[in-house]
Amino acid sequence: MNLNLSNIEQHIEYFRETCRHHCDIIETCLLDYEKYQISELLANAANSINQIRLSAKKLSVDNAVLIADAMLKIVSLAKEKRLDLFPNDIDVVLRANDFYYSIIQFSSFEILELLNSEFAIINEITSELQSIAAPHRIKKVQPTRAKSKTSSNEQQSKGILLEKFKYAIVRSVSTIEHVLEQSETQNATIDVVPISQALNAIKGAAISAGVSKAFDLADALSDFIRFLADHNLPINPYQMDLLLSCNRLFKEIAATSAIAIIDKIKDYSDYIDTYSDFLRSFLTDQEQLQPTPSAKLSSDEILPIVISGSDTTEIASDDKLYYFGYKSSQFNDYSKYNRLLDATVGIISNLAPMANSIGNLKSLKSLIRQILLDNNNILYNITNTETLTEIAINNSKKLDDLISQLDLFSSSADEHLQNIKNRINTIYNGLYNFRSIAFGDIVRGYNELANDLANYSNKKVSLKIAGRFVRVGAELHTLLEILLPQLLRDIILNNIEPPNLRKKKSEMAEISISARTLGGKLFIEIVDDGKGENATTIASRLEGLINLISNNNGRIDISSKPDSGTKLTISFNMNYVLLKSLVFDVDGNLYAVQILNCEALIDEKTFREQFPNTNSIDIRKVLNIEAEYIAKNKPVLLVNDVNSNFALIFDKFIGEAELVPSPPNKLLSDTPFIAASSVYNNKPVMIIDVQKLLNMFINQNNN
Amino acid sequence: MAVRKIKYYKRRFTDNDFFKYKLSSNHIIEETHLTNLNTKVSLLPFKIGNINFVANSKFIEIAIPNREKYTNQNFPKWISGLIAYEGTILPIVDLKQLGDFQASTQPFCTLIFNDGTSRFGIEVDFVRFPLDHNTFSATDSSLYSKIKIQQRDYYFLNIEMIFELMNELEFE
Repeated sequence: MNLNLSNIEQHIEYFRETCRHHCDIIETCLLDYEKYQISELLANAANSINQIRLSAKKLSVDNAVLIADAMLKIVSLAKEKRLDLFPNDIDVVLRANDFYYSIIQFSSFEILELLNSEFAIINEITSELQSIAAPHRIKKVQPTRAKSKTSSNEQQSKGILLEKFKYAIVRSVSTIEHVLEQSETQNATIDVVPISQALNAIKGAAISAGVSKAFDLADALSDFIRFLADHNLPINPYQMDLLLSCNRLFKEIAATSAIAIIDKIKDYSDYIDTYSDFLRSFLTDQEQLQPTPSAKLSSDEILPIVISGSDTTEIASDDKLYYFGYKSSQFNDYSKYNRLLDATVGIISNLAPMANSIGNLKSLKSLIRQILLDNNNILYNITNTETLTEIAINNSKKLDDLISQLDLFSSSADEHLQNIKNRINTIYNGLYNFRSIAFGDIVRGYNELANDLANYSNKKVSLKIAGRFVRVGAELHTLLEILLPQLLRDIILNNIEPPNLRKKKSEMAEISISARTLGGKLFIEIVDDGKGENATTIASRLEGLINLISNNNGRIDISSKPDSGTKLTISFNMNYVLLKSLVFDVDGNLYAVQILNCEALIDEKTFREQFPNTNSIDIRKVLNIEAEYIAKNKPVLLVNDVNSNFALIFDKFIGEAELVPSPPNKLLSDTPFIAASSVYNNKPVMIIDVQKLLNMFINQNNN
Repeated sequence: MAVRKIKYYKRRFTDNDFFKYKLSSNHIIEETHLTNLNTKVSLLPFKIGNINFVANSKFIEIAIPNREKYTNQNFPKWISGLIAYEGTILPIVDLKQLGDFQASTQPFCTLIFNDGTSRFGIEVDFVRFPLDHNTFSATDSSLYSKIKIQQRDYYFLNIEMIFELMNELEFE
């Protein structure tokens, strides 16, 4: 018992000592904090409060710790910047501090008794303290320091995962390549096991690294390969091409450092999406096994061709000729519509709670009105202090209520808003995809078509298709489906010579179809290395098709010479395409450069320091503007030519925009490097054709 | 071709010496051959500087607040710039250059003219309510002709002629 007593005495002594020391510190820290607001002061205060708290705990009197706990909570919240301390609040904390300071003036025995008996005072102080740290005042932002710590941790672990992911890709890609090459050279079916093992490795690594896109593509690939194996289907050259390009894509992704992989995947996300779409659409095509009309080849000529071609029995046997475009995509593929519908329904379901929140705002408004009325009362009762304080207390309570309600509503509204934004994005992307089709979808099956036509006419042809990812407007879809097969047929039947006549050239004739967009126009180039003819002869042969093109506001250029092949260039206006561009200001006028053409956007200083030898083009000079724009640091856009980099100097950088190009006004014909015009924020903006500008510059310099 | 035509218009215009008279002076030709016809035409009066114009309302699509223009050194002088309207780019005709007259203007709105095939705009200081007036065929060969409506002097603007000019510019 004695021992216990002496123990308690020791504790009380210790408690007294700590309080004497630390109460001073807390007081000075908090008073200084009022003046300077330095977080270190709060840290010191928190430390001292903690010391007091620990020593009070040893007294084993519950009430002693209550105040210290509440103080510590406030100060540590303020330290983490989750709580704004007002002067009043600091007064309250200081009063709590005074409590400890005054209590240690008594004798040890009295201290214990006071702590036990003065419950009312302690309770009052604690409740005051708790009202400062009321939940509505605490910000929800996580403490920044803690956040940075965890994020760096996350980054570290993510870095390792990405490294693993990269390693998985590198390893798997080589296996896949090996297997595919083997099957290609030996004309054997694909060995599924190693490929799916490799793909599984990629999938696993991608999931753990959180790279969903890569997972998606790997998943689509493995589905596809497994499907081929399950149904014992032979792989055709186009599919092989697709597999190889997927593999190449993985290879390219893995070619960067682990940290940059995510950015790289973002860059390639379009490609990845299209590839996985292709692969998936193959599966759905095969699964549905719809009778596929060879349809759009309008003429009767092709059908007999194939039937008579005895060596193409394989194709002729099941009445399936060629797959042109998406036979399922346009009208039968409801999944796209469903996705859009889902998104729309989601938006509407999110709007309902938003409406509720707005209804709640009305009640808040009436509350605020009441407070305003009370404020008026204050003005009338300015002499009567009692009513004043009453009103003030009432008001503060109401304001508290208001704030907590507002907090509640705003957080829920935030969530709903984010949800709606996400869904709107889905709809936007979906609609964008509706409006246009990948060129690859239009020319799907053309390799088979070329082979069949070549077999029929006893020639050897290899078809190369470039620009599969160029998006072509939905309105050109049907036109191109009619046009391109006819052109291909004409080229193979008329332009390409039989193998025995191809002297000096390889027996296999090469035809390439490429699509690209530039300045709001779609260009399709069909180049062959056939015999070549007078361009007018070709034009007369293709008269019908040329009329078709010109009726659809298109244009065809034929360049051909005997013995040097033929090049057909078809161009159409595409007014719906969005060009991602950077918009600049020059002399109050807006100019845009397609992001495709841009290498980097830097300021003038860095440009002079880092690229001293790069040619620079001042747009003002090109536009013959005499006055000079004087600015500290003009934006410099690096663009690349085939050989070297050039820098374009503008006045101001306005921003990034998605522009809908329209053909340039006739008035701009004297400024040839303006490829198209568009509208940005209700202002005209001219889209610069960088290649033409560079050519102009180079020619001028040469002269 | 367009340039020659403009010169021709200008000559006609200055030959008439319209702007050599002050508008308040008494040298006003009250009756022109244009006012003889009895058909009523809706005319939109507008003001550029201190000069009142009227134009046939059937060509006017809309009056919009002034917009920011895109300008280029290579444009003909009588085109003061391009504006964006309904997602398209329209030229703005500078009447002062076309008619060769001086006026200190503070353009406030833009009239968009439309003849069914092409459109252009003219910046004006302000626009009044349309008037009905007995008037003329617009095939007169001068760009401006003077008329008096409700005791006030106006210059009738031959919009079809400007459309002709615009078309020729496109084919040059």
